[in-house]
Amino acid sequence: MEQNTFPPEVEMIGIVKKFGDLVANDHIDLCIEKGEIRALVGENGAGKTTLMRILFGLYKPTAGKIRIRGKEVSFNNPHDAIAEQLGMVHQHFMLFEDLTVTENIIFGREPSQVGFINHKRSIQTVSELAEKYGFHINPEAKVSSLSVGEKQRIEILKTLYRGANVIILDEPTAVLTPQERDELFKVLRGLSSQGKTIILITHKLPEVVELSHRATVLRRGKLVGTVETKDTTIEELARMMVGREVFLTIEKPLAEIKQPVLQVKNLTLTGEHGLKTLNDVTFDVHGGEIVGLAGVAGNGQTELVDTLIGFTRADRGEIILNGKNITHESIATRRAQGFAYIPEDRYRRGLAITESILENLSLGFQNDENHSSHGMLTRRAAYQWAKGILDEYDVRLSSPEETAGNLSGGNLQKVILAREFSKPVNFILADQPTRGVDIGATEYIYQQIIARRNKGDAILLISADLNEIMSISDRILVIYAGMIVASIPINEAKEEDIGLYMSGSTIKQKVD
Amino acid sequence: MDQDKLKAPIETREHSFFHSITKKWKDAIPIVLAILGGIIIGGVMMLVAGHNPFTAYTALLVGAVGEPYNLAATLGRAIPILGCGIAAALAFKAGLINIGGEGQLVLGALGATLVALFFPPGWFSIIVALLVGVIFGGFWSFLSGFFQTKFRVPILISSLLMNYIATGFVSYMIFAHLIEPGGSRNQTPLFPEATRFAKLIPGTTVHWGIFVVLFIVVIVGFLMFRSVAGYELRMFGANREFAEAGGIKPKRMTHLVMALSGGIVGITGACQVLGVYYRLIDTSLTLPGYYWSGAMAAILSNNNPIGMALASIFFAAVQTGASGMERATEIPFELSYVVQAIMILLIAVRGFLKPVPKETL
Repeated sequence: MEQNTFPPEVEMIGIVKKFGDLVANDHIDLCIEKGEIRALVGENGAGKTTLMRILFGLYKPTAGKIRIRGKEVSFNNPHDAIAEQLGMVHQHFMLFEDLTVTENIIFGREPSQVGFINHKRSIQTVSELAEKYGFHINPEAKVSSLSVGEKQRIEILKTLYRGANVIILDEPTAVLTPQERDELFKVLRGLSSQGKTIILITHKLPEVVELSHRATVLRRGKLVGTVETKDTTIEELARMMVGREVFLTIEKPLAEIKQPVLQVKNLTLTGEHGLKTLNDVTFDVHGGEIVGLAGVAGNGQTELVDTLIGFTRADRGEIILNGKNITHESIATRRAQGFAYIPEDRYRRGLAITESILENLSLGFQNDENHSSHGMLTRRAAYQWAKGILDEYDVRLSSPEETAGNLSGGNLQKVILAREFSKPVNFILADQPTRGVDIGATEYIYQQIIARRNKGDAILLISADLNEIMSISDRILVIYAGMIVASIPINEAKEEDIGLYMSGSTIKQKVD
Repeated sequence: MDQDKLKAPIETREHSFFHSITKKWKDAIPIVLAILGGIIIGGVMMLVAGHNPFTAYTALLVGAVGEPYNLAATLGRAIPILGCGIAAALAFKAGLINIGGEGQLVLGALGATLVALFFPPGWFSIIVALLVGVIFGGFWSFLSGFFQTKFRVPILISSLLMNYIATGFVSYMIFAHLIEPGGSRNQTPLFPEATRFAKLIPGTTVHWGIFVVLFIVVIVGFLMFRSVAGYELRMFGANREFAEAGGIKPKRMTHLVMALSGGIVGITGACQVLGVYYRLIDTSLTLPGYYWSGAMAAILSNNNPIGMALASIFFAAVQTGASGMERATEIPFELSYVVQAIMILLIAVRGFLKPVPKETL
């Protein structure tokens, strides 16, 4: 690979990208050889996705050159990039759920005769392609019937069908079970050995070390360096990413389990098509413990969260918080009963980004005595209060009057944490609390959650990231198809077992 | 050292006070550009139609503010637009698209008319008439909100369609039950003199009702930004799910805001019959498009009460000025609505000028 006389497959030279005052990419050089698996690593906001969007023609660089196989190119749109044999698999799949695998793959480049699609030839082409690269798929299956991992493989096949020699994958493992991830890695290694170049955007360092040949680290829009993966360690990569030593294992004292704080009994919810999205869900969360709910996205987590906080009413079952039945109560009553909520999507439920940080912090406190008197806001008092808690939760900003939209994701997550943790609560529903947050802020959020647990509060952590669940939970529940299929104390939890539960294979065995 | 670097936020901003001032000025730039754009495009249209835009705009300016009488006419026209504008701004700020103002306006006027015609004459009846105007307009608007929370009919649709029901009903009520005996128009008899707003400037359409409307604008503006209820309303409008997750009750908020908004439109209709015509004349409140102008003023000002008031007076001036222009040149009055609409369309372009959110990087 190194002694290659051919020009490199992809060269990006001195790439600069500015959005207004913000420099997202600052003179980045990248050189990738044919057949290489290159990991592009960095925290959120480091500029890795921007760089790849430039490569794929979605953004125009402010300055810099791109060469593909030695030829200088300038892409106006992804079509130009596809013509140069580039392909990109986005984080959110772009598939027609109601169409078949073949129809999805040939879309836009249908083998046709006088304007009609030749179905037979399409199916044949797709099966040959799948066979060539060792994909196991049924070309006539409907996409909606496929698992997440299979859908991802369809996306990869789509790029191959369009002649891609360079495939960019944006956070490909975020939605996969451990087994599906292993399958993906096998596929990617196979492609690499057949001369395809793979670029992997990720911030999961164990995967970088496991899969890639080289890793390029970005930090705050700048290139930190490129290392040979076999010569590096997770710790070194983390240091390069963050610029300092990072504690990847979280220290916490043994759990001191107290009385149950949240009790969920036989919770059942029927979805749109008469399917049970929650099926007889029963569990407790005790004071002093963090219960992690693991599961592949879409197995009832969203519905459980909505039913617990009160956006949705259960068809059957009970939710008891601190001894009070809140099954039919309003969100306001639930919160008054000691319920704190960190939503999965902070822009949807966590914040009003057009408003000031002060107003974002005040929600839920507006009737307290330091926020208002006789129905009128006392803004000076609220301002002082906000300054205090922003300081306490290490939110860095110039003033509480700042518009929320100006802050970074990690800082905004801390704003939500500050608001929710400042209330008199003893149950915390943390739904993907570190999603889209960099390592530094993630570490901080873990520390805060563990501090609440040590204080005796009950925490329900919901996460698609199994590492997250494994690293801070005291007990792990696994949800599959709306059912709690396992409850495992942390000291007995093995990643492979949880993966099996998450994939539902334990259920299938029972049915067989 | 590196640790501090990590924690330091990317964003560093000026001090908040200075920042908010400069930000407000920056917010005004697109509005000024939209107004200029509307004037220029209107001028080009005149040019294409073979008129001299400079003569026309001079005539418009004279017609709007050139003489004391014209100025008063502008002010008189601004009263209903202001009332409708603050009602629209209130609903829009809460994210509720109340476009049922015409129906609420005529029903408010009908309520006031019933009181004025059948209650004993006097100041007491004026107060009752105003209150009944609030109730009629408010109830009609509340229904729109209720249909959304109960049956999931979007307010945008129900409020628009309920305009036709209300205006039809009011026409019928005048024609079938309240028509002036022996008259040739579809209008009620005159109200007793004691149940009328006095003119503020004799011989014009400026009456004491302007204080009722201004009072409402000030109160609503103040409460919107300084009260707990206003805070909850703004959060509800800025991001409904966020507000709901924070414990604000969405149904109650929707009902309350719609009732208030419609109530304000209703009292505006009541003021109009009590102060301008002294009777209810069919179509007199819908033909001039008061609510639509008010709603446009709200959009142009991004629902800011002060900006909305300025925009209302500006639109009133353009409209009265356009009447003068029509007399002086051959350009029809309707051009004023065209110019107004172009300004709103240009304001809508703002959506494309927003900076890229950092999260997408």
